Amino acid sequence: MAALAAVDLDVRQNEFLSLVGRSGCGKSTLLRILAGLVPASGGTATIGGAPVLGPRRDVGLMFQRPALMPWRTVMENVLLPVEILRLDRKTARREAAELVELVGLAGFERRHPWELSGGMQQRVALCRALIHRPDVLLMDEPFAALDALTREELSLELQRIWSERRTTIVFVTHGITEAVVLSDRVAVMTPRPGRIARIVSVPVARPRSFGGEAPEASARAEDEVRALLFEKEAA
Amino acid sequence: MSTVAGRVPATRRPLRRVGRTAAGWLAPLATFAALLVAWHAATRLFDWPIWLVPSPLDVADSMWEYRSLLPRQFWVTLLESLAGFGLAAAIGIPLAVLIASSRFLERTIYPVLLGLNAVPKIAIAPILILWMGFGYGPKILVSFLLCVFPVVISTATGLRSTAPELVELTRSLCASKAQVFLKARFPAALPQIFVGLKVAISLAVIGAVIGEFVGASEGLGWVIVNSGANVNTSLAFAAMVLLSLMSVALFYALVALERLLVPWARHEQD
Repeated sequence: MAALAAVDLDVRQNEFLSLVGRSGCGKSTLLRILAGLVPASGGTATIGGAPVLGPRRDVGLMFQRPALMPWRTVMENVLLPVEILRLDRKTARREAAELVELVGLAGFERRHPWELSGGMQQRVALCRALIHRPDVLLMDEPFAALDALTREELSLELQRIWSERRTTIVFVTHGITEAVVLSDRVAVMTPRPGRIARIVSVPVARPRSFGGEAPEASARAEDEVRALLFEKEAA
Repeated sequence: MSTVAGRVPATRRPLRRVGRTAAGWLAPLATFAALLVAWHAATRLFDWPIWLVPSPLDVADSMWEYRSLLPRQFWVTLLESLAGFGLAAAIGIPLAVLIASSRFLERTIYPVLLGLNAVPKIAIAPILILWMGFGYGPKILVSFLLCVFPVVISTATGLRSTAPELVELTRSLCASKAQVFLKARFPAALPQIFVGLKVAISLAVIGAVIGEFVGASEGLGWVIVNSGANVNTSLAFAAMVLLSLMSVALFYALVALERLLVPWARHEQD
């Protein structure tokens, strides 16, 4: 059986869009199709009008696990895309130093991954995903393996970084609150076969935060997402 | 500026490290000493004749007595073992790369390799000597045959078990197959490759000795065969002690090389 039914999704440029759904609803598959790692069995994915036929140079990727190379230092890990894409190393080094500073890892450039906490490793992975200035950043549950505190902290940091360097982000997550806090729109997916049930807009000004005096629009969006996810299950 | 979550684990605590190293050496040394004492006591207690079971002191005597003979024989066996091992690494690792690169090659090469490995090397050794004569050739070849298998198996396993994210990440950057191999698969497989090499090095020594057993005029294996024929049991023991020392020294040389080349292997989290 196909993992995905017909999915019709239009992500706008520089938009932050989340894909939310239960395990096995095809979120990750959809992300991999966009990354050009898996061919779509039917239909087309396009980025900036061009169909995705394979991996693209203008896409950044981040996973649940940091997937750093333990034989490389923080700096060398961040520069991996530069080597593979054969970009100019000199400008990239400056860029990498800036990114590392931006995520609060200045001073750790020459450390190895095993010397860093899980949160720090994921920050390095974020730098690596951004180093070649991708137009589209694809994130597959990037904070799911972190503890709750680090997770919120990193989510807000992602918001800050994204506000400084705009790209289009497609963010796969299980976290409803996380999705609503971060996204312009939340695409709710339902399983078997995976399809998009509805797209919920979050018309709330940024910067946003977790908890506290959550604006009413946030709360409403969150309720709507939750209702969609659970209602489908009950039916 | 954000704060950084978590602490950096302390990587160097010199004093404790020295303490641990000393304890690490003391335990095996103590075991070894205890074994020697027990061996010596047993020879005294049961009053075994020297040609049956020599005491550790007899073995030491023998070593001293044959001090001009043994180092040369040690050297010969060491060279044969290293040549066999080097050959196994030079052929086994590329072979594993082929095996890991395609299912078709795996299906073609693996059964042959398995069959080859199932043949008792002691049975091939006389044939090899028949073909190649009494020189170093057959010894090196037996050594190679005995130790190439673990190198192939563990290298292939290592190359196959790259974290999927690492492969997806490199692929998503339009990396060529060669780049995925060089940047991700091969370095990620290094710890596994070393596992195979460490198994192989001891087998390399055994292989060289098997070759010498069957037909040789030098080497520690030849010493053992010869002293057996002359009922010079303590000399045979002396040669065996030297073989063990060689094997252990080679093993730890590899461990040192591994720490130098693959320092992250000890920190692998997943």
